[in-house]
Amino acid sequence: MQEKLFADFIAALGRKGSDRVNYILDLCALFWKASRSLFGQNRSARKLIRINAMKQILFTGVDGLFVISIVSALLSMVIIIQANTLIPGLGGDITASLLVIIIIRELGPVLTAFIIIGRSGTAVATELGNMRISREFDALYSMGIDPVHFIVAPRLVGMIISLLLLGIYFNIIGIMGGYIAAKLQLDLAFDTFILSMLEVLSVWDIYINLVKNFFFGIVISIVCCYHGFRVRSSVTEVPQQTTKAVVNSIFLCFFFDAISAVFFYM
Amino acid sequence: MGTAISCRHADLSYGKQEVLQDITLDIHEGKFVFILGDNGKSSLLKLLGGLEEPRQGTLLHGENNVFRGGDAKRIELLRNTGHLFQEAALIANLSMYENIALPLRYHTRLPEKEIRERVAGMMEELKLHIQTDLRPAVFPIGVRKIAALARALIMEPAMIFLDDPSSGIERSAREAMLRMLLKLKQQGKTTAMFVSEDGRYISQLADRVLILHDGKIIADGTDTEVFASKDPYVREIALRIGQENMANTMQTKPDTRAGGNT
Repeated sequence: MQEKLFADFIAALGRKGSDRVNYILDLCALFWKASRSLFGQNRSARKLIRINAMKQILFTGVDGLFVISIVSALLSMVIIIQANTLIPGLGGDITASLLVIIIIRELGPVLTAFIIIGRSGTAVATELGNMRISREFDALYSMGIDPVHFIVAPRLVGMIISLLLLGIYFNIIGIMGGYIAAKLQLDLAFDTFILSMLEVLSVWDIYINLVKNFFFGIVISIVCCYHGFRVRSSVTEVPQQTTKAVVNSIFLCFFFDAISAVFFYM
Repeated sequence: MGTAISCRHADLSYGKQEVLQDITLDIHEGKFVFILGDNGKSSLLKLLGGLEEPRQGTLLHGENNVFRGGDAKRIELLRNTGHLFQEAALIANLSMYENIALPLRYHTRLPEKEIRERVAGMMEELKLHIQTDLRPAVFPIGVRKIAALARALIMEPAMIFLDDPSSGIERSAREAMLRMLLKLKQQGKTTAMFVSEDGRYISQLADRVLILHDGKIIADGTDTEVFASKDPYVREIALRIGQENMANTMQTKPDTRAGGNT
């Protein structure tokens, strides 16, 4: 009896593992197809894709600025206020170090990604799911238009560019917010703060920040498009797939963040 | 006259549900063919149009095997086709103009001025007088269907596949659509497949009628030949179409239903 239970457990574990591997392979295949489609079409098709990518940047990047500004400024202020309760009389160098480590290295890219998953990732998964139900993908196929090129590729490009720009914006606002908190609590001079910041901040930190944002852009767009495509025929599948898109995007972003922390900083 | 569509021993199923069995037929170039019957008509239309891959069997468009050579090749072949779906299937986040112009904008390098002229010409032929910068959702299904037909025909495809084109459409728009299809038939360059029980369309357009029953083609021939059959199922369909035709003829008042082209 126990042996059978153990065998069932191992079999279930194997099935789960194989499902996960297939899922990752599907995502890789979609990413490959979308990236390759960017280079293989005629000029007029590429022009349409550019327009669609610009729309995505507008929706994800520009419309997301307000939320990013608020979250970034408040977060960095809270960090400095809390740090000052722990280490009273915080100096310029520690303030700068804290902001670099917490905002630029870690929370900046991750929180930007989470905000984009919540705002744009859900919208993409829902939009694609609804397109699937209303047979718009069939319509695209019937016109000789590959939905991966027309739908996924511009979202991929738009999300990557938006994530990169929003990541930089998050850092700038975060540092400014941190400085305002430090100024109010510690009366820290701006030049001292900036000099400390430049001392602590390395090119490597900026590079890793950009790499993370770039990768998060790929993950969010591909995962959300993939789950939008997974909707078959029923409206009830749309929220189910959207939820899966959010959970899996968050999971994969965290997973990559953890790997990059180990790989780059350990 | 060559063969436009050639289907050999095709089976189609959705999961475990078998929809079409052993479909074998040839459609000659320039012919207008109507599919009638029970469940599976739209699936057969999609199969012949290259949108549904058969579980087994082959489909040729001209000389080309549609499902051999991967998705990219299939999509390339589908450029030569135009499809009108039952629900119109216009792209929701594009305006009506952008929807109709989409194939031209995507596949050709025509200047925008010429695209605009061609779209306007097509809309005029189909008597589609609407504000084209609005999105499809604000229009009734009838208008969306006419716009979808305009989109399907804008590239002047060699093959068109129309799923229930005349239902839900105002009478005058139905007439404009019929005139357009008659013109295509007279030109003889377009092969058309229809799923429709509109008696007027069948009597004026059909070169050939197929009757589908239990996933199989049970009758195939001209409308006169097929409807002369003594098969009870074919008789039932003939009666249904006759009644439908009568209803259409008797309908003299302007159509004020939700599908009206306003």
